Amino acid sequence: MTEQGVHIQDLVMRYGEEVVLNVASLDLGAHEKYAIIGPNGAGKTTLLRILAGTLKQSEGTVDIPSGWTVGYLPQHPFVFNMSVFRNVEMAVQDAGLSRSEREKRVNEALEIVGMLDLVSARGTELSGGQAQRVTLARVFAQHHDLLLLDEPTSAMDIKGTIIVEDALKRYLDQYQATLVVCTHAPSQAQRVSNKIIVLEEGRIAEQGPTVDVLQNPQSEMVQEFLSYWRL
Amino acid sequence: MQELFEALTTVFTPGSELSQITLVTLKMAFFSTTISMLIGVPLGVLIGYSDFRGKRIVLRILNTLMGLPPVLAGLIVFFILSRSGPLGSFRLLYTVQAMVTAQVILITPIVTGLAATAVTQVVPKLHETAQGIGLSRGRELLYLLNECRSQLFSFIFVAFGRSIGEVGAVMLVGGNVQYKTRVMTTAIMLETNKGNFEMAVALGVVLLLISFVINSIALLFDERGFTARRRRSTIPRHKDEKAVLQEGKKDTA
Ligand SMILES: Nc1ncnc2c1ncn2[C@@H]1O[C@H](COP(=O)(O)OP(=O)(O)OP(=O)(O)O)[C@@H](O)[C@H]1O
Ligand SMILES: [Mg+2]
Repeated sequence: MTEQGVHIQDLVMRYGEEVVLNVASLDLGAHEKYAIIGPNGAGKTTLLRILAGTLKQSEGTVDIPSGWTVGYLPQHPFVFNMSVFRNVEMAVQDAGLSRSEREKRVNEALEIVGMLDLVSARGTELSGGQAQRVTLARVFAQHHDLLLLDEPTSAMDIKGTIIVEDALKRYLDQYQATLVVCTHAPSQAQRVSNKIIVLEEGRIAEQGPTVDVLQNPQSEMVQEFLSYWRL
Repeated sequence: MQELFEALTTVFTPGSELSQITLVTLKMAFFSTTISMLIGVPLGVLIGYSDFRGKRIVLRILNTLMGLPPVLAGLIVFFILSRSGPLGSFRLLYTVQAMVTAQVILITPIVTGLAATAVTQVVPKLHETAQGIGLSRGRELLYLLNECRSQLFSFIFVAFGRSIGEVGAVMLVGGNVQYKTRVMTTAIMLETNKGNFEMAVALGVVLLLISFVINSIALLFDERGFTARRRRSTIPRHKDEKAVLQEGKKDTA
């Protein structure tokens, strides 16, 4: 018997008349690593926002197991005009930790994204990729059961991406967390996820084990989308 | 030139009319600025931060008020404070208080509008990020204020500049009464009308000087707020970097 995860039923998101997301049913198992891929405008961010509770769906239900904590990193996260340390510390300020425990948490999170060297730099002085690492560390510092990351490495170079992905995997193992990550890159899906969901115009075009879907896409659309990978 | 020099020295001579005019001007500007900021900044932040029905209409009204002709603000205050007006019994017409009131009516919408705009630009991204890490509304608001602090602070100088340079409303409700409500701008008008051009120019120069000093202070604060301290930029390192990269290469190849 697998542990109860997230259940989505009859989910519809509309902007005006336009339906941008329509998911009849979707289950996200506990401790699994999901990648959501799909072209621009497919509805990846919309789905993640609804899971995070920052956007209210037009119809349908999203059930997240009670007791689960959820951390969400938006596609365009905000970096505050204060030190890198304070940028991360804000995430654990209300966690009831002592000062030294807080410091330890922040340093741990910064270490895993490789930003410990810039701990006292100002948030506004960072490069795009460095800023992204800080925002990721901010979410890591919180130790959530469900991590929702929207293109968390879009501004990182390939080397940085791999280091951060590795950190992410270790983090997930350590805290037994469930991951949902949106990405444009099938290669990233391959590296970090074991399950994949392909979105196309707001609908699930295909889903299943990452290896199967990437190597043997069933639908024409997914075949076409993946044909641009490794050209 | 001689006149000008004399004018400048008299500003710093206690008891001279010019120094007295300067003092009244500064006093009026100080109170107008302080009151407008105290009302405008919190109001603007609140409007910019919160999402409510009719926000667009409120912003439109605010924009209209930002362009309110000063004479009109003067007229409104004049009617309210005149003998037969609702506050006529306070006998405030032709006092500095009346001038400050008119200026608060003029400047508060400007400060409110600027604050709302400043905050609105930051809010969407900040809000989503704050929600993502579960920040409380109160904390989020504090971080928002902190983020906009230098911009909000700079409105003091906008307000002050507006205040010392204003003529129409001040003339109408202050009456340009010698030793009482005469300020730099109204004095310039009077001297020009009398044909005392040197005096008018001297007053203008003093006004310009005050403006210059205020703006310099503003710039100083701005620079302090935004100067990026130089920092060595290091390539982020990782404990088992080599092994991790080797592993990653297999997947990306
Ligand atoms: N606030 C909004 N109002 C109207 N339409 C919106 C809004 N937000 C998103 N949409 C529409 O919803 C659709 C899905 O957007 P979404 O951001 O979820 O796409 P995405 O898959 O994350 O794309 P990307 O890869 O570019 O990030 C798009 O067509 C977009 O135009
Ligand atoms: Mg997106």
